[in-house]
Amino acid sequence: MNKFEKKYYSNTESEGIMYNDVKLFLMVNNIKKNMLHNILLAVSEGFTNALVHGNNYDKNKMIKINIEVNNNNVNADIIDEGEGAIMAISSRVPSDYMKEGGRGIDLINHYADKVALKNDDKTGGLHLSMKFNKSRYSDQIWQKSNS
Amino acid sequence: MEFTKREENGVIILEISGRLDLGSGGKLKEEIKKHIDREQTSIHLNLANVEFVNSSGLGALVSIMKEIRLHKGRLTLSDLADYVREIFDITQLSHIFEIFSNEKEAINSYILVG
Repeated sequence: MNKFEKKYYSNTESEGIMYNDVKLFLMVNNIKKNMLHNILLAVSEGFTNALVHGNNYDKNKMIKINIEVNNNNVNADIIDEGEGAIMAISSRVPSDYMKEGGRGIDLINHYADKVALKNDDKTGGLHLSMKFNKSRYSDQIWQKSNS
Repeated sequence: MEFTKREENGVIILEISGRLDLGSGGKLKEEIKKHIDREQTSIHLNLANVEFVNSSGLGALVSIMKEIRLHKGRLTLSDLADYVREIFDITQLSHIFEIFSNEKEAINSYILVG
């Protein structure tokens, strides 16, 4: 099992740094292109939620990313230190096409095979866990992922 | 995110490359706002070299579209990679954006509309 663990500052610049870090980790672990993209998107959505709603851009709060790759799955955890994220997710209304926000959790639910949300015991923030099954990605050809 | 810009038949064309996310979405909105302020409200975005879009990037595009429509203008998109197109489909935004398979078709549609 290969593991990635890193904490990021709660600012917009961290978004790109995290993206490049996670992308490199997944590539080094031979994650196929379409699976890699789906994981990056779901992790990005979780990170943005933690940054904007959880930590509210508080420079004193961190966002922790844990990723594990094993033979069957990729597991990703995103943990913030705020109080807003779980409220933002639980209080959201179904997407209005013309709204600028509210689509992140829909994309997470679409691309991850399993999603769990809980309050983190250590930080008091939101702990988002996602599981991605490798068996869904049989080749490098892009295919509809909710089969 | 980076972009190149040019004008063709009165349409401002932006070729965007890189990631369209929280940070870059804001920059794109600022850039489009400059054109709207100059009453250049026919805007085409070529997304051929966009490697990643998330919901924040989509939100920026929705914001841009609303602003352009408010000024009686028009926003078109083209050359979406398959995975980008899929995200538009999942979020059902493909129903509200004018999406063309390539830039030429998009620009021609401005001429036809007149």
